[in-house]
Parts: sequence; C-alpha cells; structure tokens
Amino acid sequence: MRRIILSNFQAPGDILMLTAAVRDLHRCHAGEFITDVRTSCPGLWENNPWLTPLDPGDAGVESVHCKYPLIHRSEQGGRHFIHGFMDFLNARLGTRVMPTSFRGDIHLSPEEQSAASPLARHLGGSDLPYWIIVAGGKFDFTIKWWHFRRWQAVVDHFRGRLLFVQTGKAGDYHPPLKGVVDLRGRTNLRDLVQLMHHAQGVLCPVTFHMHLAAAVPRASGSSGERPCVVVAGGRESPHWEAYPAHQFLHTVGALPCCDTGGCWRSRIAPLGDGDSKDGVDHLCVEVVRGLPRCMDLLTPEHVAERIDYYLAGGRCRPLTAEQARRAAACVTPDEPVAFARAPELATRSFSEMQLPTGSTALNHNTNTTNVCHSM
Amino acid sequence: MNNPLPSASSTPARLEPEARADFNPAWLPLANGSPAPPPSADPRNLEIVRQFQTAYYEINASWAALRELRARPDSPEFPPHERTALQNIETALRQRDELENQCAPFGIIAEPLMEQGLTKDIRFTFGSVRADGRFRAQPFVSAALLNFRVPPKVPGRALRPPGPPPANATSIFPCAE
Repeated sequence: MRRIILSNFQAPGDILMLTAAVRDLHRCHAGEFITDVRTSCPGLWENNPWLTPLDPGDAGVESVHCKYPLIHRSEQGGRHFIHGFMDFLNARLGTRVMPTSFRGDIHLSPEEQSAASPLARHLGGSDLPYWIIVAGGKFDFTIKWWHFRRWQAVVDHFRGRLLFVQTGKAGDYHPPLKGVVDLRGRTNLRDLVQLMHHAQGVLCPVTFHMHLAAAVPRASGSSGERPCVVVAGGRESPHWEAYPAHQFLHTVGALPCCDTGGCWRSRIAPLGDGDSKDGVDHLCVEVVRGLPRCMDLLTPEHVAERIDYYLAGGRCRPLTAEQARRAAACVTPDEPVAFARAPELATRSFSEMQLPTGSTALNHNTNTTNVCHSM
Repeated sequence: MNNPLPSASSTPARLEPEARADFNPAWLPLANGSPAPPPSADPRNLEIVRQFQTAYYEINASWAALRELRARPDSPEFPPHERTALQNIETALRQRDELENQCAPFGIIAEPLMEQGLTKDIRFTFGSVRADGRFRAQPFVSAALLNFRVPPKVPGRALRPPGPPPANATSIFPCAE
C-alpha cells in the first residue's frame, strides 16, 4: 500500500478541490493508498475519514506537491475544476481517479451537526433561516468583484422575504452592506463550514463560498443541493466553475473579450500594491462604471430573478411574517435614522409646495441613499 | 492606468473643513481611530482619507444644522429651512456615494462609525496596502540566528550554504571570519 503526503498551500477554494481528489483517490483505488495532507487550510480536513497521520521522514512515504495544470487547457478540454487535482494525480501516481461526487468533501462531526448555527449563537439563541452573501473577495482578482451597490440592491429587493448573512475574511475587500447580519471577519474556516451547513442558500461571486455551497452537507430537514447564485461574468468558463444545481450567471460568448472562453484576467484597475497582476496583460480590457463590462451586464434584476427561481420552485422558503419581524431587528441599519427619514421628510416638504400645473413632483418615495442601481 | 484613483481634481470642489469660518472640530471624523491619516506606503491613500473626512464633515455639519433647526419647530421659517436642510443632507450623502463609487474598483472601503447620528470615525481599507500600511505584495523579510556545531576538522571558512550569497552581504557566517 502506497503512503503519500499531498501538499498544497493555495487558497481555500483550491484546497476544497483537493479534498475531492483525496476522496476519489480512495474510492477509485480502494485499499491502495494511505494518505495525509499538508495544506494551508487544516480546517477543511477536520473529521476527514481519508486521512492517516504520516511522517514525511519515514521510509517509503512519498511527498507530492499537488497542482492543477489542467486549468491551462480548461478552455479546450471542457473539464471542471474538480478534475484539476485528479488529472494531476493520475499523471503523477499512475492512477485512474474520476469524480465520484460533484462536490468537495467536507465532513462535520456529530457535535457540529447537532449544534446551533453560528447565526443562532450570534443572535443569542434565536435561529432564523438565512442566505449567505459574499459582496467582495481577495485583492488578487478584483476582476471578480461586483459593485457593492448591486449586491445591496439584491438585498433590498428581498427585504422581508430573505435574511442575508454577510461573511468575508478580515483584511479582504468586503464592503459593508445594509440590512444584513454582519459576520464579516467573525468566522474562522470551521465557523464558516457550520454557517454553510445551516444556510438555505448562497449568493456570491466566483469564490471559495461557491465551492463550499456545493461541498457542505445541508442541515437535517433540508434535502438536495443547496441553492447558490453566482455572479460570474466572463472571467472563467462556466464548465470549469459551475455546479449543476447552481445558478451561474456568466457572459462568456457574449463579449469579444470572452467570446470563446474566460478571459482569465485579474484586475479591474491597477491597485498599486506591487503585485504583477497590475500588469497591462492582467487588467480588464473594458471597464464600465467601475466594473468589467461582463459584470456590468449582470444587473441586480438578473440576480434577483435567479433567486426567485429557487423560491418559486420550492427549493427554499421565504421568511414567515414572524421571522421577518425578528430578522428586521437584527440586521445592520440603513443609514442613521435621521438620514433614512430624510427623503420621506423631503416628500412631505415637497407635497406642501404648490406645484405649477403640469409639473411633476419628484418621486421621493424610495430611500434615495440606497437607490444607485445604475452603478 | 485606465481608471485612476479619485483625486481632489476629479471630485466636486469643497473647502477644506479647517479652512471654513464655522469649522467645528467635533464634526471632523477620525481616520482609523486617529486624527492623523493611517500609515500608508501609498501616498495616494492620504488624499483619499482626506476626501472621505471632508465628505463626512459635510454630512455631519448638515445633520447638525437640521438638528438645530428642529429644536425650534415653531419658527415661521421652519418649513422652508427644514426642506433646505434635508436637501443639504441629500447632497452631502450623494457626494459621499459618488466618492465611494469611484473608490470601489480600487478596493477602498471607508466605513463610518456613528455615534448619535454623527460620524465620529472612519474605518479605512485600501487596495494597495495592508492594515499596517505596507504594500500588499511587499515580501516579508525575516532573519534568524542559527547556532550549530562546526564539524570537526572543517575550517569555518570552508562552510558555505548552497547558492549565491545575498547581493550586499559581506559575510554569511560572521562567526567564521
């Protein structure tokens, strides 16, 4: 039996794909391997049944630094990210590993499965159904970002029907949203797994959370795959990133810059941080309103429509009136009360004016501080 | 650069708060908890900090004016003045929003921390630098002092690590010289 230590120190999304490769290495070659890992995300391997502690100094233990060069042929091969590490291992180990499940491999302990959700803990024991929202990402690929006002518009659209919990790693770009439960910077990797376990759905760009949405089992009482709407644009081809049960909004094929596949560029604009991704070859070729054009083409209405699919199809449920009332009490405020009321008060002032015949009063019925859908 | 950082020349001209005759220091928010801008290896960020402080000064001043006005609701001039004050708040918020929009592609977040309706502090995140002010892609350099026994009958001068020495190093093993 071969004993191997697999290593990779890339981002959490990459490590999550490695969990699938380890699972399927064992499933496709039962009894042939003993495996251990060295990665940047130990939290993703907790309770993993496929791992056995190995010492790299012991005779006969192989160390394999894992990569996924398949990504460089992704536009030609029509394969998914989940094949990436498997393809590498097959070449390196002489195996014939295939995906046995279209998801990463995350395991929760019995204690984690029976515990209250991190949201319930945050709210002091009161639990509510919720969606996770990720309104940003890391600084290396800013081209994946959607404008925070668009995320906000989606949140606003579902007020009273869905509760969103905003997550994101401290130090990354996660602008604060209003009307959400703010857990930015407050979840470690394992907290996030548990938060995902209880989440009804996920709304995010192409990011770790998208992979996690597919990988983490749903809490008891929920069957099937977890709803997930991904605002993807044209950076990556859908066949490389998308999961079957996700709503993956992409523009590949619609624009010259991604006419045959993802553009694989890195940034909207140079950040000036000294990273080579500021180079002209890594920058978006068409920026519109501060967004890559592919992301600008995707509107809050498009995204809301995809979430509505899940609601209409019965894959998730809206809040009850009682839940909506409790949710409203625990979300981040809009603006300070005086600001939020300003348009309303302005309306009153305008209504008190004597408008000349034929003129049209300004519509101040909506909170103008939040109406920026053109961005 | 096809999408430059917002600069004072690209935003509506506004008087520096301190230069105003009615300057009230209580309305000028801190930046990351400090009156001085947060440390940054990128000098452009200092200007961004200043622009957001000015924007929130405007909001604070407008809000304070409204609050003062509402303390005297019986005045005959109250309705038109209140409307003007509300419009001033809207204008200030829109200018803040515009600045936020311009900064978003560069990963800049200016998160206001409020107390009783006033922005007292702004928590900044920058795309170019980390929280400690260093460039995000700047490598960390660390040094370690390693003590080890020289093998017997091996002169210290003969010991060299593999590879070329650092560019400006005078000695790799000072103790062996």
